[in-house]
Amino acid sequence: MTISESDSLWLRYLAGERLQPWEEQRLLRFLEEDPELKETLVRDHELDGMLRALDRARRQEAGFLREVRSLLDAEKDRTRFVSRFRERLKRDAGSSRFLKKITTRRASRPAASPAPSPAPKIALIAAEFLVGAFLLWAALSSSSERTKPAPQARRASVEEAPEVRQAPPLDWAPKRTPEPAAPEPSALSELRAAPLLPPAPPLDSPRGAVGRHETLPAVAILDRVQGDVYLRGPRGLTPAQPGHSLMPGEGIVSVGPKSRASVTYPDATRFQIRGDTIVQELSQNPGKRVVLSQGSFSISVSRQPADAPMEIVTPVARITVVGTRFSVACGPAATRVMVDEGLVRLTSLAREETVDAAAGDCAGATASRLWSARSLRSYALPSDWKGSKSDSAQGNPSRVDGRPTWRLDQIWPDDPAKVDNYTPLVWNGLFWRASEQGSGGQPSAEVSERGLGLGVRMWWPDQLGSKLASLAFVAPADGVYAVEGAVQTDIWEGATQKPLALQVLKMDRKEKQITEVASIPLATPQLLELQDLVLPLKAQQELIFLPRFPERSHVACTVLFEGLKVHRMVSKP
Amino acid sequence: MSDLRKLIAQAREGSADAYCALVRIYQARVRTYIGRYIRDPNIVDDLAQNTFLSGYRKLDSYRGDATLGTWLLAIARNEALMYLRDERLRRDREGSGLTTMLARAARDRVAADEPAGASHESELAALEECLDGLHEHSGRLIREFYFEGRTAREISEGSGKKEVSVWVTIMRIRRALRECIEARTSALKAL
Repeated sequence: MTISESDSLWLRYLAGERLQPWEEQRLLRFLEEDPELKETLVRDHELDGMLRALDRARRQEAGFLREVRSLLDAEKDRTRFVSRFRERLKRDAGSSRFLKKITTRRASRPAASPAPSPAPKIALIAAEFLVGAFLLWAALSSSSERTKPAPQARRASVEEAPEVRQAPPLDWAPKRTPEPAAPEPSALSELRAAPLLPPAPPLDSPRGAVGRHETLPAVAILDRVQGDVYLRGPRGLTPAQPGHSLMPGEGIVSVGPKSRASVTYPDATRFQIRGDTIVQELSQNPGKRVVLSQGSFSISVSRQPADAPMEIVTPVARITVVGTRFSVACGPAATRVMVDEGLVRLTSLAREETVDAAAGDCAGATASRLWSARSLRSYALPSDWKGSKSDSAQGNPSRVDGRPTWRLDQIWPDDPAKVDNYTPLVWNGLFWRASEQGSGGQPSAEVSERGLGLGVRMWWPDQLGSKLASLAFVAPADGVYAVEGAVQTDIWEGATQKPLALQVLKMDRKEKQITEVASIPLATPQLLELQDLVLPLKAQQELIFLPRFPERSHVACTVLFEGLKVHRMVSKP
Repeated sequence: MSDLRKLIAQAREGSADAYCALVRIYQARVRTYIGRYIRDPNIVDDLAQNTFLSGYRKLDSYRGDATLGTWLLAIARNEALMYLRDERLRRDREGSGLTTMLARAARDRVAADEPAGASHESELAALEECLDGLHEHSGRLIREFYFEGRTAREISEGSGKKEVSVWVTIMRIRRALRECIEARTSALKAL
């Protein structure tokens, strides 16, 4: 078979072969000299592209739909959450001055506490009465419990809990200093000094709880507030203050990724909600009940009466606990629980099936499935990861049991589909950076107390390519691996309409193959464990976490991984 | 009310399920439209996702004067055009290679594609018909190469032919397909 030189060069180009510069120039000359040939090859190029795209459209329809769906969900969640929240603020505040104050406070984050409220004195007195009554009740309950035989699993506080697992549960918040499990007299003075006490809740509790004049209706106390946190009650949303007594039917809303709040019950059961979370309501009748409609929290549950276990209800599951410590994360379609201690029962609301998860287990529910697995070994991202020599990659990869386990790479040329483009970042004495293409400081990686930050930058008009960095987990053995952790972005230069994404890839260096496992939009902080990142890996295969930019967006940002762990799992019978 | 109109109405009311059903209907059209001008499959999918996200945001402005497919292709055209404009600038800085020339050509062709995707839908339909009409051997070769993910080398090893021979055959089939598509679309225009 004989073919023309132009066809031969063209075929090699289409096959992805890199033509020599003189060959490329020769083909270009053919095209310039023969407009008809140029038209033919351009059309051939188009048809080749159409056929390839048709193949993807046929074979990868489901994946594409999932991606679009997640974009729509992110879009809806963001707009719905913010607009509904603001509408309610407007409606409930009933005063533009009040709204202005809240808006000002949001805008000035992370400013100190808001200005003292002009709350009427009577509300202050009523609220203080309630707090005082709650404290009295708490003291009485705990003293009456002290007269009982000591329950075996009873724990005074989270801090006293023995560490069953090597790694702590998902927790974005800075380490807590020891706090009293139940409010102490010193807390009372702090409450009295609080600048704003919320208005007293209405007498007609939405869940039909008894009125405050009959018994003590408070369920728990909001003992810590950080960032933008609001109380959600029958009268709408109001700014939350530490020390607020949570009545049955009241909920908590945290706005923004850095917002946090802690809730403590009289029996020392305590939970901490993270950012962008909606606790729909709390109640107790007689067992404690928390309805979580979005977001995540970690919880330590003191031993509950066997006939009145605590329940946490999410959109797809009910979690029943008698006494334990675990983390729960939920989205509209999935719930996942990581158990540190004790036993948790997860019930699928759609299927009415249950699964038990014990210490070290992980369990999850979606509308279609319910599962539980045991972690054989957890590989946490090193919390202190430094190089041993400047301008060298010594120390990268980080090793576990002598095996390379975590590696930081630059990707240059900036095509992440090619295995050979990944080379280890080097240590500059302060942080990990690229050995080349490093002007401007990206790509880079820095491990801090909060986690690992990857500094990346989309190509700028005066630059030749994007400055990409990735994190690789190298599987130590054949097995099934699950990913846990959170990821969020901090864009510090430029902007993008479409959210950045975290691409999770599976790399086989021997076979020189890279396949996509997931692409997670990062418009809002994401919990990786909700992305079904459970997959088989052979020894030495790599899981790559790659921040990916939408094209045409000139963006520089830090992608922060918090509490990142990869678990080697074994299915439970 | 037709199913399509129902889906559009539900999507306008905010139903993501309904919109995803529309995405399922139109994704091949949009992805092949972008794919004919842009080679990187990840960018094709990115731009297609942008197209659908943008369509979702602007659905209220869709008046029904054109089909939803044509309306989405107009958005896809803008997405592709903006990408190719940046890509052309980028390639221009890097030099005047073959890829730069093709990026320029693609940009010019997208810019000239007015109204957007006017011929794409008929060409895609013609392509599918022409694929069905291929001779058995040619059809198998195209299927294996484009739709079953086999490389030219793998095909050559299986058939005992040289790899270059497989490439040349595939190129000739593509040219035959192009002629078939043009014949069919011309016939349609003549009707």
